[in-house]
This record gives sequence, structure tokens and C-alpha cells, in this order.
Amino acid sequence: MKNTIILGLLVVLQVLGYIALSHGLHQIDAGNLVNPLDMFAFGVQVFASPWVLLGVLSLIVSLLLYLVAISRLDLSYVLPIVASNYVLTTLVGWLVLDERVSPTRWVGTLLVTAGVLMVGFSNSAKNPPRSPRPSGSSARHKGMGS
Amino acid sequence: MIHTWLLLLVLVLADCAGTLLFTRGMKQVGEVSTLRPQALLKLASRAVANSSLRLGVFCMTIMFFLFITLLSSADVSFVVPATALTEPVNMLGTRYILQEHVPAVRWLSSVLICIGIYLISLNGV
Repeated sequence: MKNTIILGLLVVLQVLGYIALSHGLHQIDAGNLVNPLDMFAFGVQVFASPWVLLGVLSLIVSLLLYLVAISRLDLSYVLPIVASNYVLTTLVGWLVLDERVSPTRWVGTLLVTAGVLMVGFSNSAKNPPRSPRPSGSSARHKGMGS
Repeated sequence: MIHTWLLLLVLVLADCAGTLLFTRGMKQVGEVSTLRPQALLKLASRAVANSSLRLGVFCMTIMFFLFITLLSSADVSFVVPATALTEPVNMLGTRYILQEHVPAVRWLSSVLICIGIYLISLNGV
């Protein structure tokens, strides 16, 4: 039960983090980011935005939950749930942020998810759990850009 | 469009370099085997002094700011799946820079990810 809550929270916070960041950043005028003054103004606005702060906080907590999850559970169990964030972020972006998502983009998102799952399972097979108790092995947190 | 792809490429390279430098740095610093405050403090001071870790933090910072810049101009439904491009780049680095054997399943997964990202970009970013 505890593990289910951890995994559920992990996915929800990760998706919330991306959506909040995207929503907050789209409200900010990026201007001409080649100009250093515009870049500075953009940076100040970014870190003053409550949406951006909420997004960053959510992603940090989700990273910590990921570390807890892989220390308690087998990676092959955690990975499909974490990899679902590509599909879920696209779904929430479409529903909440009103993003236009074509069928081609849906297929692409599913292919990316399948590819990431394959990488994870091949790493998991190479580094099997070290103890009889389900334990984690190393993997990248599919968080920010990763 | 070219601007977005360029940002994505630099983000992916910074992410891969950051991961590589972190891995090398943590191997040099040593394993976290105890939670005693004194030992952790020693480990932290070794980590701060390690040039690979410092460079790794620099790369990750660049990656984070590029991610923010990308999200400010492109759809989240493009940016988040597109960052999976780090997997094929990591795979190429493993094969051609580290000269390690890469199993067929990783080649296949990299091809799937690349096709997926191409399809995602067809929607317009």
C-alpha cells in the first residue's frame, strides 16, 4: 500500500511539475533571449513566477520519491510507471493546457515510451537485483530532460 | 524550428556530459556507505573539491536552463518526450567513445525513440 502511494505520488508530482512549469513559462514574455538584458529580465520573471516555483518544487519532490522507490522496489516494477510520464504529460498538456496533439504526436509519444522502457529493461537485465528483497539498480530519473 | 532543435541538441549533450561527469566524479569520491554525520561531511568536502563533479553540476545547470527556455517557447507535449533523445546519444557515446559493446535491444530502442521524436515534431513545436 505504501509503495503504491509512493509510485502514485511520484507520477502525479512529475506530471504536475512539467505542467506547472510549462503554464508558468508561457505566461512570461521571453523577449529576445540573445540580448543579455532580456535574458536577465526573463530569469527574474521565471523565478518570481509561483507556477515555475511550484513546478520546480514538484520535480524535486518527485526525484526524491523516485530515489525512495528504487531503493524499495525492483526497477522493472518502477520503470513502467515512471516511463508513463511521457504519455501522461502529453495527455494533461492536451486536456489542461489546450495543446494541439495530433494522432502522429500520440504515436510518437508511445514509441518514445516503448523505447525508454526497452532501454530500462535491458539495463535491469544486465544489473539484476542484488538481494532477494526487491531492490533497485541504477537508472536515470526520467525527470527534467532525463 | 531550427532554434528549438539547436536548444534541444545542446540540452541533450549537456545532460549526457553531466551524467558522465557525475558518474566519474562519484566513483572518484567513493561510495556513500555510512550515514554518520562526520563521514558524510568528509564525503561532501571531497565531492565539492572534485573537478568532475563541479563540471557535472555546471552541465546540469546549463541543461536545466535550456529546459526552461525550451518550455517557454515549445509545447510541453513536445519538450518532455523529446528529451528522451539523451538515450540514443548516450548509446552512441557508449559505443563509439567508451568503445563498449551495445546490445541489439539498445540499438532497437534508440531507433524507436528517434522515430518517435521525429513523429512528435511533425505536429509543429
